[in-house]
Order: sequence, then C-alpha cells, then structure tokens
Amino acid sequence: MGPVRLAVAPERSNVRIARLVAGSACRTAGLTASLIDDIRLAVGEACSRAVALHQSHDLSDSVTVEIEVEERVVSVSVCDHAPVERVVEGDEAGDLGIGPGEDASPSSLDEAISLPDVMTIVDGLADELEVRPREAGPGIIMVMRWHIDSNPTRD
Amino acid sequence: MDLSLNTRSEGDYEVIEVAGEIDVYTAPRLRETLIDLVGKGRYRLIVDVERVEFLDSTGLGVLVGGLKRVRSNGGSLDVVCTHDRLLKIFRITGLTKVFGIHDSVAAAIESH
Repeated sequence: MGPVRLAVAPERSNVRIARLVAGSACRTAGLTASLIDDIRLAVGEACSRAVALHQSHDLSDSVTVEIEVEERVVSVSVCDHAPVERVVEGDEAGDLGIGPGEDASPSSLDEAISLPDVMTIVDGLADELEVRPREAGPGIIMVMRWHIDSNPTRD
Repeated sequence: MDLSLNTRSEGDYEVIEVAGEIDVYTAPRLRETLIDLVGKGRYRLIVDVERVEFLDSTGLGVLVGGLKRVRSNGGSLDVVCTHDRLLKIFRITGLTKVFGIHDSVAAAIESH
C-alpha cells in the first residue's frame, strides 16, 4: 500500500481526524486491532504535541502526517514547524489542551505523581522512535515504526 | 465519537460514567466535571471508563489533576477499567501505581 499523507491545520479537533485516518489506513492494510490501537494512540499523542507547539508559537502552518504500511513495517511520521521546542506546562498546557493545567502541576501535596509525557508514551507504544530535525526549516519529524513480524497481521 | 458524561451517587461516592473518546478535544469537559464535583465537596470519586473508546495523555492528565484535588481534601479517585487497550497507557505512564484500578464500581467501593 502506498503512503497516505495528511496535512491538518493546527487545531485540536484535527487531532482526531489524523487519528481516524491513521486507523483507516492501518485497517485497510489488514493490521490487527491491537496494533491499530497502538498506532492510533501514538498518532494522536504526536499530533497533539505538534498542534500545541504550533499554537504556542502562533503558527498557522499545517501539521503533516504520513502513514506507510509496507510488508514488514508500519512507518508513521508527524512533522511540525515549530522553531524551538519549549516546555509547555501548567496553565498554558491546560489552555492549549495538551495537559490538565494548573490543577495537575506538581505540588507539595503529591510530588510523587508524575504527569504523562508524550515522548514516553510514544516510545512505549512504537517499536522504534526516531526524532530528527526537519531539513527544510524549523521543526522536527517524529518517525514511529512498528515491525509487523513481531505484530502478526491476523487476530 | 464524542464524549458523554453521566454522574450518579452511590453511598458516599460519586460515580462518573464516561463514554466515547477522552482526548485533547474532549478532556476539558471531564476536567470541568471533576472540578465541579470537588467544588461541591464531593471528594470520593470513581471514574468508570468501561465505555470509553479512546483515552490519551490529556485524559490521563485530567485524571491526575482530579486525583490531586480530591487527595488534598482527604478524598480518593478510583478508576473502573478492564479494557487492555486503555490499561496499556496507564501502564506505560506508570499510573497503575497511582490510581486504584478496579473491575467494577462495587470493587472500587469495597477497596476502601
């Protein structure tokens, strides 16, 4: 199956569209339900991060997603155009919709509870994660890969 | 699928039944519900995600936020979840050690 490319405006609601497209492409390619779940979640996390970065930099450029299912590997790349990744947390994260906002910020009451981290989640979901700078300008490309050998294509 | 939220009382507990998708777009509604309950002095919460199709890190963050709010008032926030597709993200983020995760609302209540 040839690659599927998608460009979405940096809006929260479009994260769901990207997720749905990724799920459809993987379903069409005959991947297992559990693998599709992992890919949908990873795409959602990566796109949420990219959309939030674009919003925090007031960038209207599209976030691009490319999904390619080959014989032995599924590759998904998510590309943003944000100049420098800065830490977005606390109230700002809540406002941007990528985090719970101030109510989940570390506090003296419960220092032990750590907030979910997008990179940790994506790294845990994908068999391989590669993060590299975009060549044509600012931004990064997150490339996630799943080996189909280790994830049989039949349920 | 959008998010639907239904809250009911079971004894001292408030059970929040969630259905649909908890993601970057819908999680703020769950956050508002939890903040509203805490604002009304309801500090014993059970979030039932059995009918949730999708949960991402934003949704987990909202649950963490809710947990911190109720704990600061001596309360608790338990999760009802049996689906592996949702439990996986709790495991990856280490939150299985933070939340009480139960098979049913009854089991969540009995755990206290």
